[in-house]
Amino acid sequence: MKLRKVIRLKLKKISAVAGSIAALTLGLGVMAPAHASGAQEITVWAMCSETGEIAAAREQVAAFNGYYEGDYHATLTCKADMGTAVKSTSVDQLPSVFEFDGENLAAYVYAGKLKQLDGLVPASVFSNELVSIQAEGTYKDGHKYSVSQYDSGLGLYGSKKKLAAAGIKDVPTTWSKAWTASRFTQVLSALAAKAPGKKALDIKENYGMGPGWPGYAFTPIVNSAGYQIVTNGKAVGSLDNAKVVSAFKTFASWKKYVDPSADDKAFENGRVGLAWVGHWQYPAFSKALGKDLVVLPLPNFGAGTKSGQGSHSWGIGKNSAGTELAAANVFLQYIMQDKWILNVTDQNGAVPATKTALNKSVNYRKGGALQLYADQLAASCGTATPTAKCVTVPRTISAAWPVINTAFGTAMQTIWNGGDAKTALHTAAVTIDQDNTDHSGY
Amino acid sequence: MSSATEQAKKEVMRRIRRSRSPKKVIKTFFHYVFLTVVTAIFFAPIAYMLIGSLKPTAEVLDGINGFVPKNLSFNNYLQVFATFNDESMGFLWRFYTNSILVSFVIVFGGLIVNSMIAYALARLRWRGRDAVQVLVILLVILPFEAIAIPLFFLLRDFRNTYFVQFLPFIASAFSIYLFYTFFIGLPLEIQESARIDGAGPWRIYRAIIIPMSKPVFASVTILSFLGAWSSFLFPLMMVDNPLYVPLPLEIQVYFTQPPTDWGPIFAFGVILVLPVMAVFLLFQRWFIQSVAASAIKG
Amino acid sequence: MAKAKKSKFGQDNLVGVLMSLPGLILLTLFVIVPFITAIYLSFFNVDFNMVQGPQFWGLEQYRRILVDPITSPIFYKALMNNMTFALIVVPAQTGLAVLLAVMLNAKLKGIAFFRTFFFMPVVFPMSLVAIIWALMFSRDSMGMLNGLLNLFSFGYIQPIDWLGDPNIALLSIALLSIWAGVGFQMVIVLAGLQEIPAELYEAASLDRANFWQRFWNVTVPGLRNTLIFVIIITTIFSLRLFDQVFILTKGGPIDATQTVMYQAVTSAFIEGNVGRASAITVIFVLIIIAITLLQRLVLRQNREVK
Repeated sequence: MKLRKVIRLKLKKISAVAGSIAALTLGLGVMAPAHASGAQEITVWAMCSETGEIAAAREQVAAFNGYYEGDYHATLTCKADMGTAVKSTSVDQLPSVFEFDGENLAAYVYAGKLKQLDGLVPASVFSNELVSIQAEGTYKDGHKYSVSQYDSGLGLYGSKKKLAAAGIKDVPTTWSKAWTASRFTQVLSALAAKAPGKKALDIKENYGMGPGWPGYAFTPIVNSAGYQIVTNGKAVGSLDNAKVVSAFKTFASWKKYVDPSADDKAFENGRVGLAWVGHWQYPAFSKALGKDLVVLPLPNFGAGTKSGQGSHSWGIGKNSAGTELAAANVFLQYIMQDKWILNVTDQNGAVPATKTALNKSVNYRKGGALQLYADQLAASCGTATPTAKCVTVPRTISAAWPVINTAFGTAMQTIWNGGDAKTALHTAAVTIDQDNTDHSGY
Repeated sequence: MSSATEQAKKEVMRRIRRSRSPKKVIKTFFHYVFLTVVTAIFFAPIAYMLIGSLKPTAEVLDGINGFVPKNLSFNNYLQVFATFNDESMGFLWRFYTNSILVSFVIVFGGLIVNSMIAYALARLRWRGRDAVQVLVILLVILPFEAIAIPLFFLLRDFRNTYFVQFLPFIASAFSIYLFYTFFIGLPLEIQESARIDGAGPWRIYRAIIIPMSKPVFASVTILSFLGAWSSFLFPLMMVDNPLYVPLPLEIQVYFTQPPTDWGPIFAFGVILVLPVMAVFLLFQRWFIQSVAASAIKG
Repeated sequence: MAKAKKSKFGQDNLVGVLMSLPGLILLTLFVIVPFITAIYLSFFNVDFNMVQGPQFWGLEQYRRILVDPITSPIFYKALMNNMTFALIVVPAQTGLAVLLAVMLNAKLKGIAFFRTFFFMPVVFPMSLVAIIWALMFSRDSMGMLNGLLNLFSFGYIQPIDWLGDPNIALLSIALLSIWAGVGFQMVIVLAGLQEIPAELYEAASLDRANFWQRFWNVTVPGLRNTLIFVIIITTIFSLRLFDQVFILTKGGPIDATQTVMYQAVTSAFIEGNVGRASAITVIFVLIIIAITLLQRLVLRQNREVK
């Protein structure tokens, strides 16, 4: 049949095309990119976790390459999931420089993946960093393993108009005046009554309520109830303490006021009056709400309002040596200049990690719209038992953090979906302790 | 009664039964209605994606209004092109070629390797043949998931290469089995006479077996292509450098990257699936025959 | 006339071995070796997070998965989810496939047009299917499914939390899996239908059998082998459930969509606990083999009688 012949010819053509594409791709993959001869090559992995960060990463790498043309050349790769990328990669395949979520510092140093930066990066760079950032980059051996361009801010965003319309007059703008949990329940109820969809709060449920987002956004609830996740090496008794359980029960009771935000825009589009989210939403929110936007601290579950700290950090791969190491070092110092810090923080709304950059930042210096975040970070609790006098608590600085993150996230998902808070938190605590024992206390 | 008259009688009976009674017309009508409704249900998600890819994100997520074609534009596609235009995020065309390359090698490498061993098992006598036959049968039952994790562990130093994406999948017990059952079913006489004429096994394989086996080659091509092209689990674990990522994995990566911008996500989905849909529409008879044929052997 | 190589091991010894070699090498390297490695690793505490090397643990991984009161419930939950999923999907998808195939088996004009659409979802990668459905499953009234339900029930049915309600999440995943996979089964059944001799139907018509009688007495018995095949492969596919769960629900809510493969991959890939993942894999394979053998045994008896 003629049709069959035509199809057979088409098949042959398609196979030929596919084959040549295949060969070409294979060739491309094997071929090394050509650059200015003699330039020291370094590989850079960035997290590129949002559109603004993609642009910022590309810009600073391009500028670096331009400035150091002939001497150094950096190749940038955006990794979709840096955590799994670093975990699955053995040390000898790590890049020269990589950006990672600061919470994993201890885990990476423990696994031998990061190079010590003392003596490489000048001390002046470290001392210019915010106190919270210096703590974030220090391992338990007292040495520095990372630098950071920004820290994070976490709190509530609100719409002044909606709050006023709901009759709420005690809107806190400093962290010492944060709403108590019971007052917050009233606030939510009042806001929801006035909202067309009867919702009041956006907690970015669309980020996923499993391991990940809750580890940053909702661990402050544990702290606000007066506890660290792990106290004296044990999670049982700490994470599943009665006060913590009670705090989460309260939190879960707010679900009826929460908009699932599947389009990620519940607050932006005016469906809710409050959003429980961090600095990265500031650019979009201020664009949408303008002067109507107000920044508030998270509710107080008993031991004062608490918030998160820590964001992305940059480190050098452990096996980096010789000229590659020198180039990597130069790269780190290059991106730690105020100019590049502000370039990225202007795009993602984060807190600039150096004192000099902070003072130059329109949003974060005294009187700036996001001064609350800077103030919160200045009152960091560190690893001590949280009290009403301090605000930000770093995510547990331990090589066990990934396990803690997963366990907590699982518990959070259970609680959010109606499960029993006590059982969920206890299971998480036991999992954490067992992992600790398995790793001989790391 | 002669068979001709019998035939005629049967024909008349048939005609009477098939005559257009009103009952028949109504039945046919409802038949079509049913088919159309089911088609609409099946096509709805696809239509949702197609239409959504052309609308601004805010209008995509709007309940059933997502189906209404309003404010159509190619902006989402432009945004996708703008995101994937350098080595840090990957190049859009490269996601394609990655998938094509890997699928191509798996499919065509597989055709050669698997048909050869199937032929050796089916038609040749050699030491160890029976043991290998048993081995293949056992491996057919073993799903890929059984070895996904250990493969990840063993090959993790080869992540982000092409080799790790295709090499483990060229040999497939299931393909071998398909070839095997087909070869067994080929008539022996032609091979025997070729043997007597002095042809060696290679020659028989090339000149006789392969030309006679077009159906099974087509089936295996299509089935292994479908499997290779949509492979997700293994690339998820083994590839995270955007220059080597295949399409189905990249769509998930794009989906999980904040912000969740549905318009461009759908646009990317359309870009991903359109070529395969086109190929499918052109060759659907072959697709469908292959799937059916694989069942008959199963 | 050339002589065929004769040796006491078989006529075509060299050629046979040569032709099998590439396939054998690849299968050994990439299937057998990994499988044995999985078994080996399952007896160790191997963790990417650990600085000290692998520690021999004997059966400890298995104990934790199967017996330990704190860590084993999640595995059994995953297993139960796989079974529940199979129990939903196998009858539903097979039944739907048969229904569609019967509907397509008519000699109507343009029937191929419909067949194309029923099969189309099969060519979509599951990752894309999951993403499209993610939006359709959105839990508020903006979600597509909720919007449709609202429309067709005139506002009576409230928005459903498809992926967030622990009682419904698995059903939702099943729904999208059926949508994506039924075309495949349908085509197989259709081929089987077309193998049933037309005379059987004619004989039934002559006996004044109505549609249902014809269906149960001619179609279903004629489809026996096909249905056996479809049931076996659908069951195996259900046990391998991973892609949709990873993209949509990450095993939640409250482990409602946890599956064995998802447990294994998260252990290895996200937590770095390769020992545990290997143990899960081994258990998984044993289960698959058991079920496959069981199914073949039970159903093959009928086959051989035929």
